[in-house]
Amino acid sequence: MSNSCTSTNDTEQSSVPIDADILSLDNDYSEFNNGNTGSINDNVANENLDELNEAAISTEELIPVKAQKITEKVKNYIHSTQRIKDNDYFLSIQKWKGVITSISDETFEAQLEDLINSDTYEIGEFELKEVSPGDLELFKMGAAFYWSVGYANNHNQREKKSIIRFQRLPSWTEDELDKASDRRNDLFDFLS
Amino acid sequence: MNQFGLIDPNIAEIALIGTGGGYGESCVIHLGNNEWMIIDSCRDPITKSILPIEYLKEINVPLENVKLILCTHWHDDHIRGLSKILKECTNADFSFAKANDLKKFLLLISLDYEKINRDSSLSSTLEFTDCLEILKRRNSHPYFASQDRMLWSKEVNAQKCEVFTLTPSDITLQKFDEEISTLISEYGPPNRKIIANTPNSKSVVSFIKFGHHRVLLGADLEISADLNEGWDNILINCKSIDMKASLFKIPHHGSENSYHREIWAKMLSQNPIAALTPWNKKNGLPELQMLQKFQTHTDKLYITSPKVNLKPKKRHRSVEKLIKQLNQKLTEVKFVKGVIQCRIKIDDPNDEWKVSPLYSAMKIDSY
Amino acid sequence: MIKEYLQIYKLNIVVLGRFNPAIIQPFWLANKKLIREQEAQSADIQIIHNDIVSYKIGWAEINVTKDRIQIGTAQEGLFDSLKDLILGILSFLKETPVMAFGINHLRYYTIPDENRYYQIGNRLAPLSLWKGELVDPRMNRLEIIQAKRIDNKAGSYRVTISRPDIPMPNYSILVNINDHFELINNETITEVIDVIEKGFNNSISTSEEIINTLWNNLNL
Repeated sequence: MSNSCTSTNDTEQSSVPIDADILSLDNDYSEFNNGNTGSINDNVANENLDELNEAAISTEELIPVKAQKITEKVKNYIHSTQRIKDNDYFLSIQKWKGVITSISDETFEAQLEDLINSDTYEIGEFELKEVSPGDLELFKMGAAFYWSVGYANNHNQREKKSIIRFQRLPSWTEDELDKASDRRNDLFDFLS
Repeated sequence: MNQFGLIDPNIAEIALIGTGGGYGESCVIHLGNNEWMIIDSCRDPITKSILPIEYLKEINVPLENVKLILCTHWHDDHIRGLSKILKECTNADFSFAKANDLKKFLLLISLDYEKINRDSSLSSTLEFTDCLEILKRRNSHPYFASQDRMLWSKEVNAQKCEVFTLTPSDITLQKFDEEISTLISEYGPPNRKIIANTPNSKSVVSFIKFGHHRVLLGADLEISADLNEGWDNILINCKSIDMKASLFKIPHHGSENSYHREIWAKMLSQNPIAALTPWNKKNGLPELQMLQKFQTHTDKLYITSPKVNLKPKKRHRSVEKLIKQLNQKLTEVKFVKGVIQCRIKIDDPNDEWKVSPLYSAMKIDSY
Repeated sequence: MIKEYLQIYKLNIVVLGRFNPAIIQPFWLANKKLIREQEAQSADIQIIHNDIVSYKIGWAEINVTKDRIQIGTAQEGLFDSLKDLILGILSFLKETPVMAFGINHLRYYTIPDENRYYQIGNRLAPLSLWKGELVDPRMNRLEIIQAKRIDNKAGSYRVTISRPDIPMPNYSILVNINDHFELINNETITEVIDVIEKGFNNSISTSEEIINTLWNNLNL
């Protein structure tokens, strides 16, 4: 496969006065508004990044937002700068979903469902310090978490990694509580 | 007739099905006259087959002959596959221990049911709720299990066959009402899974009468500090116990906090058949000292599968190596199927139980 | 097996509808307990504007425009958390019309040798067909579409093989599978959430099967 290409898209980039006010961005979205649910990255995959760099407006200059109009190129640039960074990726070789079944002073135990091969389950013992500070509010009996082991890339250095992240689900909505209440009432009428 | 052959209508059968301790246990019972009962359910985690159904098919029993299903606990861990059993056993009545504050209990399981739409792995009462929905569709009302409640009574060869539940007691039901509120606030949120506490005082114990023979099935009942609960309540207050049992299903994997000396002294005959299932988690149950204790009461002790050494799950070498390097302690809860099949003639008071340990089940000789 | 050549697996979930980007900011997510408080505090913000928001919260990238939400992560261990995040966001946008969603699987492979790398391109699109007027033609990008879904839901699959869009070692390729769901029955957000929840794991396993089948058929 070729290692280089040139896009056939219009490469002209109109410069954006930095201190103009933003009016509307709708017109710039036509390319994306075609019902395509492919990642935005798809659309820049074949862009010549050098070309974008020449016409680019630094994203820092857009904040505070005073530009007249954010053109498609700028939008593309934002997305093209969101490339996977060196320490951004992690390939897991085994994943589990755990539920806390007991908590002691320094450790906790969990029932683990193997997400790769969900036949028999396992019991895992973990140290409390493996729980990220931001997840401590969720750390309770019966709380669910995802656990994954694998290899991460940290600034071009491969390293073994274990990630625990607690599951976050929004609280019950009124609809859901109503549904539960209706089911309860139906069953109660039946049983009594 | 071999153990998988058609059963004589005059032969009572108790088949205790174990899974090694992590996947539930179940009892399949022939009540006589080709009418059957199932207590709880368990499932093979690998093939997903429902073990009581599998057993009945092996012994050529049509599922329409199942006339009674008893659910001793509402948590999925104890009754995995029970809703499928109820669905396929179209002639079966259903029994469970009712809560006094039924509305509050139903709110608990209804909230738990809503978790299906968020993440079904966090629901713990799906089976139970599905069973209630099936009953509702059939317009078939359940029988509520409680102390000294008779669920079944029929004659087989002029011999009375009856099934009684001995628990939960009134005090247990009252205390459970308080517990439900805590369960709702603790485990009601969508990202929390209800953790079942075992042993417990709500577990439904059954006492079965086959003519002159008696069977005591201990479920997961514990010893309670309150004499109006647990085994003490049964010993002191139960009226339906008229004779000693010659077959005993030892409660809660033979744990120390479900052992009561007086059960053996007052409720069981000399040298009864005693059967139990292991619990292959943590330190494992039964402990050696408990097995030795049981053997002071009987030399006919059976277990559905031997205790296994707790080890990590077998995986690809590179995965095992990484888990070890990350210093992670993991043990697999192994599935080991075992059936202790016990049969006796209903109309012969002198007959003795014929015990066949099947699959991984075995007799415990000496420790 | 091609899996041994896998270097990066990135998942992007895209939802098309009518959104108000200014709402979906880091602190809104933290306030709704959909992400950690600290993640909101340390979010790497590129732009927050009425018409577009774009930021990173450590493990995930979030981009929202008026007609599109896209969240993605290259941390395979957190794909389920990504699913929870998009479902959590949608659950707070109950009145929002949604037209389609897609689960995009971007897998980056590095082929160990030059020969096999060029063989892949040659087998996918035989270069002998192009020789003549073109001198030394090479395959740059290939796109295959299956217009019907195997689960009978409305939508399609689109598989694109190209050079990576990020810096990678030589002889690397990107296989991008767009698992597209079309919502044609005026589905409510609740129904959409249900479809995503039920279809998510299947999407991952189907995308893997597509690649494994291709690799086996390439017979290298």
